[in-house]
Amino acid sequence: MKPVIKLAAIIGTVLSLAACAGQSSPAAGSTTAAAAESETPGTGQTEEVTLTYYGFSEWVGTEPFQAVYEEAKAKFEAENPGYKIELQSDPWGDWEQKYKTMFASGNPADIFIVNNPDFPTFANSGSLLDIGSYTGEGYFGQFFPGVQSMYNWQGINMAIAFTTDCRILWYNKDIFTEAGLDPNTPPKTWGELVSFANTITETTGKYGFGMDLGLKEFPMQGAFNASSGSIINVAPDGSITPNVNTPEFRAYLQMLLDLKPTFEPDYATLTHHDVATQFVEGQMGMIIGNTLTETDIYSKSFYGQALVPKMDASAPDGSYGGGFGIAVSAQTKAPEQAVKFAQILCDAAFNARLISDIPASEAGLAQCDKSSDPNFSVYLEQIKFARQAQPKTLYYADIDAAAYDTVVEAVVGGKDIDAAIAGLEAKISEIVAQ
Amino acid sequence: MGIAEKKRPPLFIAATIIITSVSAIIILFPLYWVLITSLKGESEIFALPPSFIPNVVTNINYIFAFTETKIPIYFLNSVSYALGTLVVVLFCASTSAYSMSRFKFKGKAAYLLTILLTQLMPMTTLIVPLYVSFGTLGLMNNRFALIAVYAAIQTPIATWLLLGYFNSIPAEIDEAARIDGCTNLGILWRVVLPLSKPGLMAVSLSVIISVWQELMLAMTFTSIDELRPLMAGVSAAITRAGIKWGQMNATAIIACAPIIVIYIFLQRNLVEGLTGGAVKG
Amino acid sequence: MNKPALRRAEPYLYMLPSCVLMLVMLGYPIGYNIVISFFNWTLKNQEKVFSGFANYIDVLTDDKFLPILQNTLTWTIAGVLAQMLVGAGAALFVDSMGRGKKFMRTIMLVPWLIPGVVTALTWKWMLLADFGIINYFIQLIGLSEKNVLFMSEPKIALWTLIFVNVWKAAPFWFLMITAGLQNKPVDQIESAKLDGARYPSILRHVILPHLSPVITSTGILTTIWTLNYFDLIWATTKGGPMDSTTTLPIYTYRMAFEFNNFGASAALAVISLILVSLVCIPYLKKMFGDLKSGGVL
Repeated sequence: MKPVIKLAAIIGTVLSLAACAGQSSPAAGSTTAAAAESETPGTGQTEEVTLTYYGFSEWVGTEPFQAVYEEAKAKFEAENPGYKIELQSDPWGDWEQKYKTMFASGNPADIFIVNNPDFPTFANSGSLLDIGSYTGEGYFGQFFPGVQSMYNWQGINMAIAFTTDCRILWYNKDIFTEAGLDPNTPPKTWGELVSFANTITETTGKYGFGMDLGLKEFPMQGAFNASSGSIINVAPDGSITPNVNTPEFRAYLQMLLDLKPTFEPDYATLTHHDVATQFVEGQMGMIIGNTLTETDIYSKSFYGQALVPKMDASAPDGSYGGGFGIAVSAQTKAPEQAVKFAQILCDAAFNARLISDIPASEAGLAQCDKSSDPNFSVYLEQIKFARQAQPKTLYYADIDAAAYDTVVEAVVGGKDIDAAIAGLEAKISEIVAQ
Repeated sequence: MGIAEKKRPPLFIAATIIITSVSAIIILFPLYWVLITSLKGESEIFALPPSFIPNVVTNINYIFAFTETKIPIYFLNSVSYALGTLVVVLFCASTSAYSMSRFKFKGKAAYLLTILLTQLMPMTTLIVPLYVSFGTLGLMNNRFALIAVYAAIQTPIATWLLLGYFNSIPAEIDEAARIDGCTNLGILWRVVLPLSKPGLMAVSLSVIISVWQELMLAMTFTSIDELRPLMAGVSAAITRAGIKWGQMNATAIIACAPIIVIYIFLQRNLVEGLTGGAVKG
Repeated sequence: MNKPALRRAEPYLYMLPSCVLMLVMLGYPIGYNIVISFFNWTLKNQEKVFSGFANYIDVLTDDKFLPILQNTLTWTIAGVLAQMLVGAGAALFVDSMGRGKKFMRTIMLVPWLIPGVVTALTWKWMLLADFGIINYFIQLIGLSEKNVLFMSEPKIALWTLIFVNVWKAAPFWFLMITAGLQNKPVDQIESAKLDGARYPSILRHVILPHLSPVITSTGILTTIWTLNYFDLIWATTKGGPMDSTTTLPIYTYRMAFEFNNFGASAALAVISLILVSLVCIPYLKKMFGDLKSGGVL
């Protein structure tokens, strides 16, 4: 019996230690950290304040972008004597977990890249600075309104639109020809998409359409958004109701089921990167993808691009729109300067050179070598119609995950469409009831 | 000393050879595949049917590893993490195992149980709490803090193994040394540790291998290249545009090579070392 | 040394370094986790509010919990049993070999040397339905005409991953059992042989009892490691398809970093702590029994 008592005592001690620390951590932690960093005891004259900037290594820590970051940093430090910027980054695979950890533990970076699906979470928790109160609201007019609106929380701009991103239809002209399809007539509607993909698979044995369910995101949102569908309704009073028992969502699920025979067999675990790679290697007839700039697609001769096929001829154009913003932590010790650095990054002179994606403003786009490149003309046209399948609410991530689960149940698990839709309605209602 | 050493029928020998070669293939093939893929160009990696010997051997993936990531710095960091952790673990584990092996006091069972319990939580759940305390104490991007975490994680198992080993050393040897005027600490240093060399070797190898392969904590508590370990090179091949297979395999080979070399040199000690610890403990 | 107080304190002084190290670096975060599991704490709302057992009730009543628990148990129990059979079987087999023993011992441990992330991604690569080398082999020797969906078919994926984990973890069993066989009671085995006993009976009555402490301690370690193993599943399937490979550690991670609910994630961690403890009780009883009879405690 005695060892057990001893063990209980040890655990008890540890628990009480943890409890004390847990209670005092957020507020006390941040002030001591701030004090420790901004104070250099003894000197008292030139106190340098270091602000940290955090992003992912593909941009922040990799050439040619790294040099431009250094340039932006030098400009900031020249204009703001006494303030320094420290650039920090992690590889893509570690980045998202890391910045969530930073916020959860109360040690956020001062300025950072925010991924748009995470924005409501950070904004709601009071972690982000009201940037407009430093720049004036007029500042945001220069950015594409649809993109900037993703970073507006309850009327307050809490991040600056940094990049924009959308999906277009890519198709393989060689495979189209092989399948007896016209290589200059890509599908324009969901119906055509389904029939072309099946024709390709039946006649060539190649995969008609590249589907990916490996990342837990609303699948093929680009296509769904080329309809008038939205998976939730948000009333003016803020209350949310599911909106999936609609012709649009039903047709979308049916389209996926009809496309299923043309998928690569591993589609349930493939990511959009895997699918893009297979498309570039000439294994797939069509995919819905982004610019694919990180692959060597532009060295191939077979590719064609088109706007994402719409639900039917009368449906509005649409695509999935995403991208990154630049946000400033509410805890930063020098908010004015931190906002200034964020502005430098989003300034047209720097923006295009800091990223491999597309800038989020007309002026930034003009600076971008992609604006006159014929390879990007379809993409730049499509961006105008980019949107998301649900308005940004606090439950974005949970509803997105529920939609993913539902689509997987129907497509992989063979669940009946009506049951799947009813299940999703129930799940969304449950999520928003919390 | 085998099953049937006197007369082995030819069938038995044939079966042994077949089983042995099939298992050798299953065991070694993935490593071979990593090596081969690291020597292939992008399009050959995806070629169907796959090629077992690269048609065109390319060093492009290795060039990438050495130019785009800071492999030499990573390597030195990995060495410092492995050795630093090793020193701390050997010190902590041998003192506590010695104490439990040679002294009578209460709470041994509780201690052994508690340190085992520390292994029961998924490692991922330690990330946020450790980040809270590291951030508050200003220990982010600190080599010694990372070593301390690694050491804490490795100490429990090392203690268990060394305890078994120390127990297998007869107490009479201690007594002889005591008569010669050794203090308890002297006995640990001059008698017990030298006699436990194989056990210490085994613990060392296991600590080095674990630390060498660790990625998640290293990436969480460092955000500058100057402090990253070799495995960060592998992580860097997992990009926004997916996994760069050639680069990943090349960095994996670079990361594994030192460990394989160490292993080949130390592997004999490994089995000997565990003999004392595992069997008695 | 001569002062009695110091003498009484001495054993504790030796314990001090490891106690301090582990208390700060492991005790604190684990304790923090347990405390936080009773608080409502999400990224959306970082004010930590005491909520009693609400997190536990939420996760335990979620529809997903039971299938995940079932996956976790299958993954752990089938995994450890297979690791043991393969690793211990190989050790006994190699031990009985004449020539080639050293070679086999060296290569058996190779999987242990390859980092987990690399193992995971390489096996995923080899097991792809279409590009995968294994499907290529299978069709080459005519075992199956269609591609086997090792990772993408919900009914198969978990078993595929269990296999890969056996490949990775069996070497540890091999190592421990090989070490245990180094001082097997040779006299007893010889005299049993003279009495005309056959190998199975020698194995059962002499070798296995001799190995039983090793089997216990290896069993406990591999059970803990297997249940908590995260890298392999995360790097291959991320718990999919249809959550068929989601185990408790995967769910715990997703709860924190995908659903941003750190309180519920902590509750899940505590639940897996309790679960492993329950699974380990028989081992622990046996192990402490061995230690007591060995005169250690």
